[in-house]
Amino acid sequence: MTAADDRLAAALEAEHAAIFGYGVVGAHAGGDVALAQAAELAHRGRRDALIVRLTSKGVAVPAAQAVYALPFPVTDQAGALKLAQTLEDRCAAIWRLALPDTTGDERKVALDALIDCATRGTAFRKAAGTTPSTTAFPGQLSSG
Amino acid sequence: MFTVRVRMAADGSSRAAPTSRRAVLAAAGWATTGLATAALGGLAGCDSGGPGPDATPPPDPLLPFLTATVALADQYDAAIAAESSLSARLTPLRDDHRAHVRALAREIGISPPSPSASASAESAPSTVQKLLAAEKDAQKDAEKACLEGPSYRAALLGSIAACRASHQEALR
Repeated sequence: MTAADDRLAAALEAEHAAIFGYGVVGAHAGGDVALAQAAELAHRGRRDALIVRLTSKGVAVPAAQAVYALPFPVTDQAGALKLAQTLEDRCAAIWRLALPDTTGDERKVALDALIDCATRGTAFRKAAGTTPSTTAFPGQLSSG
Repeated sequence: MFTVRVRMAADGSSRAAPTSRRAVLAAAGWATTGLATAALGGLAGCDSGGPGPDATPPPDPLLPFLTATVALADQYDAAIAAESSLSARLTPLRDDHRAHVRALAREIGISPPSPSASASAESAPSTVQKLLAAEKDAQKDAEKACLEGPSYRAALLGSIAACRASHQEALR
């Protein structure tokens, strides 16, 4: 397994987790349910594309777990929007890590995903009234 | 959370490439002559003859990208100056661009260029629609730089592209 394959497999695991998380987000998203559903759909699309890509390369595809631990309990719309932001931030970080280890078409896949995660992260911050709604370096976990 | 394996060994923003003393010296000269002449300096650098120990090192390919990033931040300054009611909304976005300028300068190995106040004064007032269009173009530039650039700069440039995309969402 190449470094690129390793990163893409990690991205698939993150997408599995995000899809699980959006099940919880959707249940509590209230008036923002359409936003949550669109986000979940996008993550499902990324997951499916990753499975196809990794399988065609003969790379073992990590399966989704039955249950994922949530970072915090979600009981209302505010919590749902906060979880959605967290899910997008986590996915953005995983996809960003894939950039240096990929080239060509696969780097484009990672870049498109990072861009989508950052855009949705901002959309959820706007919906939650969080300011600022953007960060200078989406996906970067350490400061600087 | 979510038991996702996160491998943080190599965050791509590190400066893996040797930033040579030559590059720093050349860049320092660039910085003192100001942004307006940067492009000309870059062109002149291309005229040097064959590769020799005294040949002028080629300008860092990120320099034009840095110059455009400064201009984008300046465009926000102009918009904020022209329409103070937009300040609260636009200042965080402007600050993101300034953070990009600092990170790009660090990556290239030069001092961050300061905002060009004269450019702000001369610019036509930028509307939100114009900023939106500028962000869209700037995102494309960053994507191109990320995809065509070396791996050690891919994470930095990818984040800048993603930030510019998120700015479009913020401006809508």
